[in-house]
Amino acid sequence: MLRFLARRLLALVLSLIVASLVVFAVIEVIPGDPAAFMLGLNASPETVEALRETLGLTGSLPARYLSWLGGMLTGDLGISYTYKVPVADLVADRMAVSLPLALLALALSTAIALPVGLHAAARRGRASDSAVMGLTQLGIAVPNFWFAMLLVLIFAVNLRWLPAGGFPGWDAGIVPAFKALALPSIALALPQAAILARVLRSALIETLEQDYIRTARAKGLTRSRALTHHALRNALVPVLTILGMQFSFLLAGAIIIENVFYLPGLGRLIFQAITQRDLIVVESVVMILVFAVILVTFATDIAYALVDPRLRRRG
Amino acid sequence: MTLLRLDNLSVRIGTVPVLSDVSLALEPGETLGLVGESGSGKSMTALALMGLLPAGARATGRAEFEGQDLLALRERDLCRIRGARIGMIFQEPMTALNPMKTIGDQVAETLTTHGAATRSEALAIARKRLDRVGLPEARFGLGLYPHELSGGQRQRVCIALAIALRPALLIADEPTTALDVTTQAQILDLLQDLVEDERMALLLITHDLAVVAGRTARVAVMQAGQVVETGPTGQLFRAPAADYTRALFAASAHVPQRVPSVSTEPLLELRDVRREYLLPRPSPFAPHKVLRAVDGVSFTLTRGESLGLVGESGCGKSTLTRAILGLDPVQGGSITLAGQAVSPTMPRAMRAGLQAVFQDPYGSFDPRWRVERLVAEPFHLLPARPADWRDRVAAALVEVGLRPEDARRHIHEFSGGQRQRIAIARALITRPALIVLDEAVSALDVRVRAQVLDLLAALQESHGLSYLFVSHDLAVVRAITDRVMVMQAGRIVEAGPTEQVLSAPAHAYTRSLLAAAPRLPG
Repeated sequence: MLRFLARRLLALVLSLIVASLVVFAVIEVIPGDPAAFMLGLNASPETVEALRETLGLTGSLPARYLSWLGGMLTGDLGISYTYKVPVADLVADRMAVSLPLALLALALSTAIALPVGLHAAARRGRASDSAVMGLTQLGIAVPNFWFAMLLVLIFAVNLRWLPAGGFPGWDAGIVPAFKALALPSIALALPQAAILARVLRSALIETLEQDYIRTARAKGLTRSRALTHHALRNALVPVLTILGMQFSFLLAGAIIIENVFYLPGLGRLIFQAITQRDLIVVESVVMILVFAVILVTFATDIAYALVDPRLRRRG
Repeated sequence: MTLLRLDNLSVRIGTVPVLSDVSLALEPGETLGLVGESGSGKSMTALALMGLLPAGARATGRAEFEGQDLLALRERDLCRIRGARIGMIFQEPMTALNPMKTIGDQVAETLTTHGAATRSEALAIARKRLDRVGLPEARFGLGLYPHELSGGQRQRVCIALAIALRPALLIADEPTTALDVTTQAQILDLLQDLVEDERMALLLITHDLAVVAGRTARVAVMQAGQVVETGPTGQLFRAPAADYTRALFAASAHVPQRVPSVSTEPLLELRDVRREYLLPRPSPFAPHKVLRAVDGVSFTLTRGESLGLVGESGCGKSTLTRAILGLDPVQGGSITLAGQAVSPTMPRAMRAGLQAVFQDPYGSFDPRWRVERLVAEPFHLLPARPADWRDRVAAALVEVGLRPEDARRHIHEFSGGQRQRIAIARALITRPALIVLDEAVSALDVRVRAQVLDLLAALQESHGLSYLFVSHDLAVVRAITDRVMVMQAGRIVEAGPTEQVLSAPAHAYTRSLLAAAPRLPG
């Protein structure tokens, strides 16, 4: 297991280096001068030159790459061109919203998908299975922003239980912050839960066909005990794959939901940065997202190995 | 009191009858062999009395076990009987155990499920049962996972969990079909021992008559969902009453008529062939370990000859076969076909002279292709597909005993034996000099196998074909080959004329293979 961890860590570091090279190169190959590009057509040569200086675009390529990388490692991401504040602070503020939102949505979607998938697999082909699977179809088909508006209408406008949007910040206390995140996380979680439940159901059904389930039944296990004690763990691997992908998506892909609920999250940050050609923010946020995805992949790999003893041996 | 009595047990799946009026009886401690070809309903009989029939199947009649009708019991009560009073083991030990749980837990689970012991007690008993089935503590800790064990060892674990609660009846459904002959003999011996020690009754289900010979007190023969004959084993083997049983015996002992090869012109020559695999590095900077799967193999196959290659799984025969087919590179030595070097980069036209038929008649065809396209596929190896390719496909189908109009059908419309005929037609279509038959008849029922062997013998004579016949089945090799080679741990340990090697084996390994192989009496 130790060797497995070491190999995975090595792979993690290597993919990070490769990813940073790619991100750096993409910004570099954008035709023309990034500074001129950011300032638009009417900028004077002096302004462009000044910006080149601030952006650190003056040295040789390798030197610039290394200084950028060094900055990333020490937490110095540079100064945002549009916001005029350190990018690190900007990202940290937005992370304080996006990370809890993604985690909450992920927890919710798992909490919904697990019993639903188990139930549907156990009652495969019966009426309740068809009903539940029909609902998940709906959950996948309905756009989450429409669903979000529905939630706002019911819980914020009519019942007035939860705020309709905005984020008070964690300084305002845990309860108001969670209240602000409740509706967005539900809106994000439901389509994910629907996907996850379907994946779990089909993985379970496939697992239930396996010979070892027959062995378990021949031992005297009831159908439901064979499902929970033997099938579930074997069906977890595809579920973990989907979970890992969903987390990466939730972190930055929540932009529409962030807009519906006026949440200052990462998705909105990067969207605004792109429209304002704030390349320095784009570069940093993309790199952080890449880092998050690689980290999640690493965590998923570890989870695979914890679930499946056969994977612990391989590198 | 009779332990198990089946009265007119019938099973239908939907409206299709799969078992009709099966009646059998088993006394306590008695052993009964249930023999039949695939689809005869022998497994269905076992699953019906375990209450584990597939969805959509319905059983009628009576299955009385220890005084209760199993078919009338509720699921909850059946769960109390399964594993406690009736234990069952299955055919495929490689997949019969949960890969995510330790073997100790899986054996102990039988006890904890039935509330017979606490977890720690159950683990202690599991230890004893594993010792009993030949997996001693020193090498086989409770914490091992199934993937750390071989097929035979896994089947022992399955037996341990089936007998953990000392059931009155043990059902073994093809317990050794997936195992090598020497392992098969050991597992059958173990079952026999257990039955005597624990006074368990045994229902041994198998397609192989030779497996029950001398192993069970009585035998029942099944065909198409019915029991056609039941009797004491010795008597049934001496004087089978039913036509079907006689046909089975005849097919098992069938030897096709063939003309021995006389040519001395070499076709396939192997000189000191080595095949090596790189194993994972022991530490990140150490060199790879090397597994030598084929270790210095040399032989010559002459034109028109049929050469057998036997050995147990893992001996390297599949690796060698892949190298001969030019699918993998060799790390040493040379392989030549009619004087030209065989390698993964050899010209495609050369592959036309070298075709193969594999074991699995279900997995070796694309289910979406029509038969004519399947059979014509090797024409890709020629510079251009001949204009009369449809006629050639039709001719090849006729040669293997099918009809020309079968060319328009899809593969799922054919039985296992017919599919193997189609595979042979596909191998024949480019008029190769050599056909490699890799366990080509191993998945077939005895009567079909006899027909396919006849076909192979006839085709060899009419086309002057050479065969390399790779098999674990000594009886088949004896029937169809001129010479045989015995392979062990990557080396050819014995080679010679088939009759001589199999009648008077010189090498100890050949002798142990022959001793382990189940034989029909007489």
